Amino acid sequence: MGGEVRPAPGIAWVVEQNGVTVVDGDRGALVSIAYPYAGLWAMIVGGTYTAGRACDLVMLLTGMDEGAVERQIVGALSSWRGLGLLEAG
Amino acid sequence: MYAVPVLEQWLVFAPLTWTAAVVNEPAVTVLAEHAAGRCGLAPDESVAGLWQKLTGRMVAPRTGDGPPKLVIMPTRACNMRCVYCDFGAADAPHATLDPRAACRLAEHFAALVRAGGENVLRVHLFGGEPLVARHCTEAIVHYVRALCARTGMTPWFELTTNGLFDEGLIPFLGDYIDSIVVSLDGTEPLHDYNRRRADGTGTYAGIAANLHRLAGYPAELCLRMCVTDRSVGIMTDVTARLCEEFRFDIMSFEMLAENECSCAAGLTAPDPLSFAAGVLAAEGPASDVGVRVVYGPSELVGPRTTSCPLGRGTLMLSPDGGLAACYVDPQRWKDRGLYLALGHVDALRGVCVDEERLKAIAALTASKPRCDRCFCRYTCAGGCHVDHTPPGCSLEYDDRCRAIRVTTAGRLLRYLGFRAEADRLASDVTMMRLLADHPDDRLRSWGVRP
Repeated sequence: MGGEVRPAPGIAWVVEQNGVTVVDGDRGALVSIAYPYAGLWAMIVGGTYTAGRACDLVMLLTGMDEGAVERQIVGALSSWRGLGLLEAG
Repeated sequence: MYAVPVLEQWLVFAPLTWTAAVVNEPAVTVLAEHAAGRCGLAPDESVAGLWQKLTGRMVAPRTGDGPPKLVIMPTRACNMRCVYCDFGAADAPHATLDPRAACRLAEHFAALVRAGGENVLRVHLFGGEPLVARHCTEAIVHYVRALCARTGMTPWFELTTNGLFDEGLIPFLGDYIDSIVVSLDGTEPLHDYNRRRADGTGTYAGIAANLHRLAGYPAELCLRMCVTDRSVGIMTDVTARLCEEFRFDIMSFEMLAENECSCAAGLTAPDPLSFAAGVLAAEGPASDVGVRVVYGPSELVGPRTTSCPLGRGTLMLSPDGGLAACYVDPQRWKDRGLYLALGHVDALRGVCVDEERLKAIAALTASKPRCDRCFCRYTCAGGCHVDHTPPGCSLEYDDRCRAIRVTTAGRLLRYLGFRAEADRLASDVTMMRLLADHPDDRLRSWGVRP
């Protein structure tokens, strides 16, 4: 969960009412990200991501406890890396 | 129904039927006779038609400009030291609002909005400077968006900022905020005299750079200029220059409200007639480039009982969790004999709002003795209920009233298609003064005018 991350090259995104749509220009793929993960994505692209802040935000958005939120964030980051949306910063 | 002198004619205005007309003095006399129930004189056909419209179906005045808004102050602290600021930002505690309290209130407010049959959750982020508390502000925005996604509502965010913020905030503001209000007091020398960093240096260049960056985003951009005695004479030029330099949507003017700080800095309130003329004249260059000129109390948005947030059911959350109907420092409304506290929000225990007090505060706007004889009774509706028309205030028009009366009349003229007459009014000090100081606009007082 720690460590810096940033959008991979060629990745663009559009903020929409219910979340974010991430566009992988190279592969022509669209990925819709709903809340609470849309908040996490905003933090990453805004350059303010830290593990602690991400945890606080997702806890606020979901009301879940810290342990569960940490697991969710790890899962989301891993999934986005797998899809080629993120790279290590 | 009201009638005010404009140039050689009279502007008749019935705000509750939202009807206005420009007529001559004999026509006003006939209308006044009818208003008084003395119908001996038969109006000619055109006046009879107007009478029908003036007395047609009345619209209940709205309590504000639309559904209530939630105003959240993440902090009262500020990164600037404007010479006229009496918000106490310099001495404000650097406390930041607990975002969980804002979230509890957003849930409460969303339920109220839905119960009222509305679907837009309007949140105004205010300060201090809300971007000083960046993480709190961002968290609130994401929480409200998530709440709206969950409940099928539409979020709408307004953020008032001094414009002096880190460049890294631009994508957040541009992508997530619908309307951004930036204070800019004119051209660089004017602005830099008024609005300074803590070290006394100017802020125009930094703000201008951010305005250019924001122009690439869909957010509505409003420039708000506090007009002083120094800038009142060049409002049109300033508007034209700003329209040339920046891409924005709204040019909003307000008159400096004098205070100890502004006086110490050698700034005084602008002459009200020059200010009104400036607002009306600025509409020319602004409209050429699609920029709308706004002066809050004179906006013609239909009949209303308040033109300020107070009285609209607006809830304002302070960094300490206090809820009030007004954003100014509580001491200021207490000094005027007003009690505008509404309750408290606790991050864990939730929201406590005194609904009876909310109703009592809304009722304050119904009693405005100074406004009874003024044709702006249901458009300005008393302006700022704390500083302008608090209970027990003088019955005489003050300079703000004069500015609002002239601006409103000029706008009504334009609304009716009398553009040249509005321009003439704005350039004729004698006519503006006659209008501004007209003692009683009520049609029923026509025969008893001094």
